[in-house]
Amino acid sequence: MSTLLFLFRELLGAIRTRSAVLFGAVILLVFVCLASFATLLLVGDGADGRPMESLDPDEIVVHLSPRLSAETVNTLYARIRSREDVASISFRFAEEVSPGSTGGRFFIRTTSAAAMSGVRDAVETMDGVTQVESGTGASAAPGLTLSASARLGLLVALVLSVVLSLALARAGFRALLRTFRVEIRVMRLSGTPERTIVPPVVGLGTLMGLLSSLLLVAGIYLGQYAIGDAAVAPRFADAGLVLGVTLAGLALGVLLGTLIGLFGASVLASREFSPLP
Amino acid sequence: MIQVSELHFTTDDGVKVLEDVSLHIERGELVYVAGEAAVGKTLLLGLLAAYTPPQQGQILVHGRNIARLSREKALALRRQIGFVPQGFVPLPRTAVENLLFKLRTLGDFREQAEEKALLALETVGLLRQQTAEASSLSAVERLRLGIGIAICNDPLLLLVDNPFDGLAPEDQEQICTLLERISGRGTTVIAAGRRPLPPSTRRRRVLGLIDGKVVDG
Repeated sequence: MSTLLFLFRELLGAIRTRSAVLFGAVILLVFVCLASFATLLLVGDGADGRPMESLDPDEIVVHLSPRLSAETVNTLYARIRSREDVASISFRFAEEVSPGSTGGRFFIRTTSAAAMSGVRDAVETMDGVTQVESGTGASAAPGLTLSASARLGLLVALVLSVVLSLALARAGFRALLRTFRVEIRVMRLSGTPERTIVPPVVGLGTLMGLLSSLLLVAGIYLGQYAIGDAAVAPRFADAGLVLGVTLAGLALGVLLGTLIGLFGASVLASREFSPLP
Repeated sequence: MIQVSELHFTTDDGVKVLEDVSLHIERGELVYVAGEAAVGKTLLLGLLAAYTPPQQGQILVHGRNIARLSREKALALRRQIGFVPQGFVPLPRTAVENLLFKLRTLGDFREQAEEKALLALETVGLLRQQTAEASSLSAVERLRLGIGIAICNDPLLLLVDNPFDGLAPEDQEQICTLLERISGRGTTVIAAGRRPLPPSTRRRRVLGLIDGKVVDG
């Protein structure tokens, strides 16, 4: 076993209740930070497109082919408008509704929900109509989205958890290193270089970050399993994005943990670890 | 060999602790430094151990000028110096594990470290207590353990700070005998203590530290 591993094991053995509780809190706070980060990336802000199930029961959206001439569109418009079971109709270019789309859309409101199916059947048979969507009447499950204030709250949680974890980590490392101070004094007195003494302390921080990251990985995949429905959280259904966020979370957790370890190692500069008065 | 020339040391608040200290100690010699409390005995040992950097003057330890050593070389020198601090507190482990901890952190493998640790425990007369918890040892046994830790990597120089404090006269004599045995094996030994020193120290060279100056006797 190398000197570093030996020393790391000895350092772990010096963990007592107080330092264990503080380090546990640090792991949870880093997890909160990583979870905020992942949530910001994996939960949409509503710009992903509202599911069509949210149409009212008397609403119909008619997709028109981009090849239709203006005259044909006018004819179709007039035919639909003339129906007695149609209360209103409006035309919009598809680009206005969904950037990048082509063609046009008719937005139809029928006189009642009961009239909707009749109008829908009639419209579907018209030439130049490529797709017809209508409300089902069932209350659609709301998509998993984050409002602007929720996103701001997550950002605040992210920053606060980092600051709090640093403060608790310093207290935890102070408690741990106080338990380990005789060993530190012996090492310094016998000429053990700081490059041997410091890395196990930093390594402990990295380990905490790694544990938080693993909690995040478990959280992401449990979340993906629990939600399951692409319509509710479309980004969760994107395996590539989930993998990317998971790997980024792992890297961020290890980085944060290492920073926490470096911050904790700064405690070693205190005079109480000096072997001579 | 240790050669100290014109050594001065002043604390941050302007107190001159050491003034024009010069001394010469041969390799394998056992020297006692006697002085009242807070006259600078620990400081002198810290300077000789390359732990406290000298402000003025020259300290040569086995031919190496401490003031001119790089950080790395000072650490390498410190690894050749055993230091037993005043009021030595052992690690909360067994006697042999105390020695193993130092040897392992200095890079020794377990088997090699065990061999050295047992040899050092035998030298200080603690072989039988190797598995005893250090906290259960008597005051003199703890001091012996401290000396064992200091010599386990076979240093060229052993520095012992105030070893006789709180020990019974017969225990003080035991420690003197132990230090003589260690110096007899070629290790230079410097032990600093408060007056009066145990009677057997008179068989060896005793330096006095008075008003920042080192004097014979």
